[in-house]
Amino acid sequence: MSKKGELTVTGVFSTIGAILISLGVIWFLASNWHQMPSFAKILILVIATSAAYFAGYKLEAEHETISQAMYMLTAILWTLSLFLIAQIFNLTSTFQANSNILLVALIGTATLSYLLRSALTLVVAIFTFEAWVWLQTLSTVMAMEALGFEGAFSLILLNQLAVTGTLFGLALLHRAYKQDFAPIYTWWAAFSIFGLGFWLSNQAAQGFVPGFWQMSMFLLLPRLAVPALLIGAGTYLSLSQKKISKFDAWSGASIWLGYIIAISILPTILGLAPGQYVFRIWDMSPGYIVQWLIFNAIYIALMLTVISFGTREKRTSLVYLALLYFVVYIAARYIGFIADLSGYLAISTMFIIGGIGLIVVAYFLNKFRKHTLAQLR
Amino acid sequence: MKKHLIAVIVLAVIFAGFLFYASWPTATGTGVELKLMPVDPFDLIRGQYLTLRYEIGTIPEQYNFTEGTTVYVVLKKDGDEIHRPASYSEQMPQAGEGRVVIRGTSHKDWIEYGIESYFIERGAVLKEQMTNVTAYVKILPDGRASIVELRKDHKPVEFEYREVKFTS
Repeated sequence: MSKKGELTVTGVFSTIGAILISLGVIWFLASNWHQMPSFAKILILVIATSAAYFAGYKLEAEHETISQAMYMLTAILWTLSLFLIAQIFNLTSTFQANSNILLVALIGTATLSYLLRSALTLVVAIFTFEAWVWLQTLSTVMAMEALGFEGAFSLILLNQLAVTGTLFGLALLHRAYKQDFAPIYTWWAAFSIFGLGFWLSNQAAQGFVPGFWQMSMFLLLPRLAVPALLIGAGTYLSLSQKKISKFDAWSGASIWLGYIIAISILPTILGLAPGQYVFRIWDMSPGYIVQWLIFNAIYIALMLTVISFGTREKRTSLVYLALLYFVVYIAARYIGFIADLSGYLAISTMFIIGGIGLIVVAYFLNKFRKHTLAQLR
Repeated sequence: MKKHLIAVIVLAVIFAGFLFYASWPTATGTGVELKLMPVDPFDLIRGQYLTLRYEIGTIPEQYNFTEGTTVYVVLKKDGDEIHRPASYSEQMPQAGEGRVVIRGTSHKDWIEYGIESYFIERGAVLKEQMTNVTAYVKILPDGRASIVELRKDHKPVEFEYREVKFTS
């Protein structure tokens, strides 16, 4: 990956190389050989991290993509050296303790990515950010037993909304200032919201949603206010500097807001109480069916928005991401229908319709792919 | 060149700060021995470790702490050289002669001190039964603690290690 986040063969090879080295170091750390003094272990990682950084620096002028991979390796090795210190000094291995280490690592990797303007290091920072949020969520769930099963799910949902909103807001802010990192933030924001949206489009998820609004304001406010501020500022700045069309700015923000409104207000309007965990549509109450249909409608709107934006912006990675989620979505709905229509004749009919449908979809996908690639070229 | 200098300084300062934070109790803390009972899980990055449950981790019936409260436990040395809790409080108690204070966080029915993991080599096993094992812990004046070693009869416990081969 180059500075601007474009994929090249050299970039792919050197990135995979850096990841393999990182995995090797993780194995080395996990072995924790007693024959090797702690000081020697720290020294090995300090030398390896410094060597990776120096290689990145030396290669920057003539081999930019390899240099980027070396900077990414520096960020990973540096993060691992924090975990090595935690291992040597027996810092407790709870979700909270590991999440604290990730937060420290996030500060370092994010700083490094901005100083070096390194796209791959930013990917490490975003990955660290996501991992930090997950560990922090799990830690909160474990600590707050009163949250219960529904509360735990609501917190996961809320944190994912916050992550998605934060990444989307950062994407808009970077776009406003024509910063190279804007496409990376956009891709990760899309990746996160697709994950969230896909989960919510399933029948089994519907029973968890009504519990969301019962969470305390202490948990809700900061998690929604920060991304809302980022999105608001990002939308305003990128619109005023004419770096994004009104349609793109509002459709992105509307989908994020749409999810929040659907999660928080919809169950109240439909009079839903939490706790209906069903897999078959026949077992769902009408209110839950309406909620399920609305989440599917938002998800389809999300797919169309991302495909449309990716095509106009000539961003193949975004279009492929949306298509991947489209395929997963269709597969999930198809399996859902098979589960709903039990009985030999119904299943036989569904399989035949599904088979024909897939062949037709394959034909149009191929046509669409060729058309998109031709447009991008 | 300036950006590289700043990048190296930022990484080095955070690294050194974290190393300082993690090693400070071991380097300067007061040493105490605490009684414990272990089990052994695995951390994805840091490897195999023993989860330690401390005698001082149990909250006596007369105390009732809210989840997540910082708790200070005054430790006093018993005749067998083991430090045991003398009192529990939500405020930092006054330091006194022969008293050590350890800081923890209260949970439903136990207190977490941040010293519940002891990392060992992958595949290592204790040579003896894990009964009557103590942890030698160093504690800073503010109550933060760090494990130095596991002990049995006041001597470091011995582990049996696997033979290290290239394919092991």
